[in-house]
Amino acid sequence: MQGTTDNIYIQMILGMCGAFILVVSFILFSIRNQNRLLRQRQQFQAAEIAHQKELLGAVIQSQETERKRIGQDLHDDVGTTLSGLRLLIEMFKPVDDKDQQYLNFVKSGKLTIDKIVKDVRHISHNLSPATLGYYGLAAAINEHSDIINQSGKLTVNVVNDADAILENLPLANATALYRVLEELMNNTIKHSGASKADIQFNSTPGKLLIAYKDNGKGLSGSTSQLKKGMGMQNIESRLLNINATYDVTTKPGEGFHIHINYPVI
Amino acid sequence: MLFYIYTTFIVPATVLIPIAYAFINYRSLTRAFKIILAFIIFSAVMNTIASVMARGYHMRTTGIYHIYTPFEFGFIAAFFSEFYNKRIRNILYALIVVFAVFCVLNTVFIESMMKMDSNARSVDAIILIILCMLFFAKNNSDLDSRWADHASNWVVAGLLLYYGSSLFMFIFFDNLTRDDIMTYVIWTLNATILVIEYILFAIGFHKCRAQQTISTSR
Repeated sequence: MQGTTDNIYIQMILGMCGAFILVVSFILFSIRNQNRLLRQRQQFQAAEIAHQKELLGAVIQSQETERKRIGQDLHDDVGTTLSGLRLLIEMFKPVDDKDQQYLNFVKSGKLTIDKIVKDVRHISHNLSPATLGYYGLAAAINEHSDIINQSGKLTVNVVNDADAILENLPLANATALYRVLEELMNNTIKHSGASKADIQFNSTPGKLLIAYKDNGKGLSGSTSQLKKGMGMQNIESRLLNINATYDVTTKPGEGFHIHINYPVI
Repeated sequence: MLFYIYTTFIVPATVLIPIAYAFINYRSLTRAFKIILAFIIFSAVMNTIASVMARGYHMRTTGIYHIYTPFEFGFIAAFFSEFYNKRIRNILYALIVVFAVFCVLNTVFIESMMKMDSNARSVDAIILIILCMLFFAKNNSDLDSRWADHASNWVVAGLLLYYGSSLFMFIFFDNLTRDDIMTYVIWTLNATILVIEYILFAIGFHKCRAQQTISTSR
């Protein structure tokens, strides 16, 4: 009888140890399995985001190419034709070249052509700023802000403390940042009622920091509400495509501030 | 002597670890975790009563188990019910009532208060093992966060470890009233598994706060 009881005890101990090992193994396998599935899903999501970024990059690139082509066509073809037309008007010699009507026609014709040439140049510049390709982002922004300053609608002040980084920016990324700043200046002119805007380029090791602020009426609502606007969506997609991040701070009556953080590779 | 100190003082004292963690994170605890906290406190009280009766007055404590088992099942089944919809929740509540009736019938007709309630505790352990498995089967398809970030996973792991490992002991429960070295070894094993369960509960309570921080920051 004692032998049978001892046997039961040993069986109990063995059973308990075996069950303990089984349960621990089950939990560990369960953890490993779930973590592996989680990792796979994260990898899949990362691949999907990378693919989306690639698609977005392709769309932006083709958009820029098309803008450049239209800009060049306008500048070269329409600009040249208009210059030719101006020359034709100048060269035209009527019977009576002192005729007041003729003189008025020549004067107003030349003025109109000059205005069209100027407009075409602006449109062409907006579509594809040649300065960006030749002299870099800082020069292109300075040029664009000069045009805005001349219009008298807004005074844009550019401070550049990141010359070395700006000079070495790849053209595609410089274009993206140019488009973002252009969109911000357009928004300031169209919606803010501001009289002054400041753009400041700064750098820290491995980073380009851009601060943009205006003294306009500002915006109400949360950051997520702001992002719903078409302009802000464009800004977001352009920045996302070059791995840049941004932070907006705005309140009614306190202007609009945005800080862009671009990692330099 | 060592066995006496270990099972009478050290192991019962470890119940304070999950209780302390639960009270530190009390504001972050969900209803399910508050049920587990109530269960731990109830266990601690019953354990203390049993210890005082056995060590202080040399009284037979088998009757305590007959009262403890249906309450234990009730608390743990109520904990699991918090993770399911209303229909399954009602089924679990019904199961608590049915199990309580079964315990009473077992005590009245099969295993008296003078014996360990081996049948009731074995059935209790089997049902709880099934509930733990069902919980993991349900939770393993949740891929929103890591296994370790879910506070409830730690508590269920503790329950599965304890009831899974102790099932053999519960089946032969009635042999464990004898006073010999093998009984001590088995009780020590059981006590050690109980300490592991309490530590896993403590981790679960600790994770409650981290989980709340994650969900608020989202």
